[in-house]
Order: sequence, then structure tokens, then C-alpha cells
Amino acid sequence: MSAPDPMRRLALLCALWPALAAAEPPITAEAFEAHVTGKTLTYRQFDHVFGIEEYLPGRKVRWSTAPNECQYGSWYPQDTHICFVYEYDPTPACWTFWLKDGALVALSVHAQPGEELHEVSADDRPLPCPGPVLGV
Amino acid sequence: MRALAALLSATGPALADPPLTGAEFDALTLGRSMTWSEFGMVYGVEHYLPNRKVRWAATGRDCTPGHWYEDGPAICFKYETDRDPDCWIITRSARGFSASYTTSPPGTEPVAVAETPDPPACPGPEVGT
Repeated sequence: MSAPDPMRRLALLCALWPALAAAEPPITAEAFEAHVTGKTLTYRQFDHVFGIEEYLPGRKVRWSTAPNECQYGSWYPQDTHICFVYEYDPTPACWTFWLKDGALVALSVHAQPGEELHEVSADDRPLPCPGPVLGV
Repeated sequence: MRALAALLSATGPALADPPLTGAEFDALTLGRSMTWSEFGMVYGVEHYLPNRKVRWAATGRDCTPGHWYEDGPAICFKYETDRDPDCWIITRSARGFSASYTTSPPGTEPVAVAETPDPPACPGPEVGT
């Protein structure tokens, strides 16, 4: 399979000031909800699309795992993190989100500084999910 | 206690497992589809075909044909659309495999690989056969 981020090593080596990420105040759950609800956001990591997520009312989400395939889930705040759980996997994926120039930046609690995801586009169109619901 | 020791040994830490050989990887994946996840998020699905061929589907890119091969302890994937291969050290894990990119710095979270019953939506006669 392909790497999600072939530029990972270079980017990590270039992350000269990793403490900068921690200096940004995390977004609150209320501000996050207001920013994302009703939108479909595309996230990039380095020079690749990492994923696309549609944010539905009631803190529900649909995450695009592959073209035309989605996972359904929900999100909730936990401490300063926003955590996501998806069907078929009880393990939450928790992230620190903050805003930079009006766009979200996300760093997984399992990631190292330099591995952030960046919101690169937002639109009102729902995510296309005609394929089977992905079970893992 | 012998049985317990054997059980503990069999379920020991995945980190202690040696990398999968090509034959092992082939036996465990052939005809199957696997999700690849980073940070708990599935970012692509791959289907494994005979003769070590694959179809990779990820968000933001079309379904991509490719193949894999062994390179020392690594399993390397080469796609028609990519210039360079992606090489991984792959070990067993509780839910499937753990894959560490060969050039990632130490301490980088491995990618989680797990079987899914749903193959990627890739057109082509090879998939599912």
C-alpha cells in the first residue's frame, strides 16, 4: 500500500520548532461544532489528501475511507481533545484541533509535531457514499 | 503453568514478532482486502490479487494498480502512478498487521492494517477473482 505521507521524514526533519503546535490554544467543542457542522472538509497531510469528512448535525460524521466508501461515526470532546469513534472500531481517535488563519489544523494524540493535518477546503456538498459501508 | 506459559508466549507483544516474509504476507492477504489506518483513521483500502498484484484505493486518488515485492525484511509496494516504491516492515498485530514505514523516524506510530469484507470499488476483471 501507499504511504499516507511520503514526505513524512523530510517534514519531520524540518519541524524545527515542534513546540509551536502546542502553543496554539485548542479549539473548544462549541467552536469546533460551529466551524464544521453542515460542511464537508478535506484534510491534507504534507502534499497528500489524508481524508475527507462530512459533519452532520448532532455531532455525527461520515469519513471517506476510499473513493465512494465511507465510515459512519460521531465525535465528542475529551479534555482539550476532540475524539472520533467509527462503526466497527471502538477505539477512539483523539486529536487536538486549533485554528490557523481560519482553517482547522489537527494533530493526533499519537502523532509527532510535524504530522499535522490541515483543512484545505470546505464545501456544503455531502460526501458521496454509494459504495458499501466499510466494515473493519 | 505450561499451558499458561504457552498461551502467554503465543499472545506476546507484537513488537517481538519478526517481520512477515513475502510468503507469509502473501498467504495472509491473497484474495482479501485490508484497510490501512493512521492515527485511528482509515486512509485507504487495498485488495490483494494473485502474483503479488494489488489494487490500492485511497481518498483523493483513483484506484491504482500495483504490485509488491520483498526487499530484505521489508515489503515494498510499487504503483503504476508512482515513481518510487513504498517500503514497510510489517508484523502481526492483534487486529491484523502493524506496518512501519522504513524511512520513518524511530517512535513513529505504525500504520494499522486490518481485514475488511468490502473490497475497494475498483473496476477491473481481476478484483474479486
